[in-house]
Amino acid sequence: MNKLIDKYLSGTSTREEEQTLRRMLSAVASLTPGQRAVQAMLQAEPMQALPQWLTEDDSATYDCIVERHHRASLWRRTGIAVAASLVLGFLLVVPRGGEAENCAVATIYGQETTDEALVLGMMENTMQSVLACSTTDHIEGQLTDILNP
Amino acid sequence: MTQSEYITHVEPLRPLLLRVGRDFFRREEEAEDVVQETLLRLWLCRDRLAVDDGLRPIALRVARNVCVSMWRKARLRETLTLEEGHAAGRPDSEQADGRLLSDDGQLLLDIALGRLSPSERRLFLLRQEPDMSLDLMASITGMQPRSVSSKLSAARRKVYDFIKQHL
Repeated sequence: MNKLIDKYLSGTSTREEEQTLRRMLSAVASLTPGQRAVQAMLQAEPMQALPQWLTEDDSATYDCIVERHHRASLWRRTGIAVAASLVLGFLLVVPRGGEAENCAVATIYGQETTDEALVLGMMENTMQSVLACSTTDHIEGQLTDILNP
Repeated sequence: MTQSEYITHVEPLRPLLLRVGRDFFRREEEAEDVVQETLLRLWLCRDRLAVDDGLRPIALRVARNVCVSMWRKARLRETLTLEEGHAAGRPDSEQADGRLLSDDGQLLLDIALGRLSPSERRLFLLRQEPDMSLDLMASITGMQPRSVSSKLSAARRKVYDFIKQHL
């Protein structure tokens, strides 16, 4: 009987074996808890067909909920597209904005600075080399000892 | 509708029913549940159906009803508190603490079945149908026979452990 119980619990028993098991369990005077559990399981009622399964119609509710999901999905995709456009635009605009300004870069004692006053000041003092760039007026050169009288 | 007519005319509707479930839930697991529940209901009502009845619109209507029914149950579960949920899930006679330790196997069986997943419960009860083989269960639910067997085994072991523990 225990082998039949194991087979039943493994889901591989046939209908005939289950009926045999049911008969064997009903013949035992004193059942263990496990055997009583199996006996109860074998006596479970099958599902009943309900008439309303074929007659009821919730199509209107179904359509409404599907439409709601569709709108939510559309809003989500629109939001993602707008956010992506903003990020892309930001990435494209910022470097151009930096290039649009005149910038003078001077290397002073190995450190770069864009402070124009400082750059001009250093040009007036003494500089070993100056590298200046500008989008409107590119000046690239090396000035050595120009301010060194 | 006979068994062979069911297999010939209802089973091919499976992709259509799956689409109904996917459009509603947007998740594969729930869509599969819808298909299995729909196919099961059509099987259980097969005596009232004829092949000439236009099975496709009937199957679609049943599938939509199943979707709405599952949605309502999910909403009900969300709105109930934990204690209320336990109370609602069990028959009234089981709410007294002592009944959980009752030696009434049938009572414990009802509770144990309530704790199974929908697909496990479906398979457990479907197997109780007269002349129901594993292959036929696979045809009705659209699952592979091996999957039916393993899921049925899992359901039976859960129920068995629960009843044995509380007897």
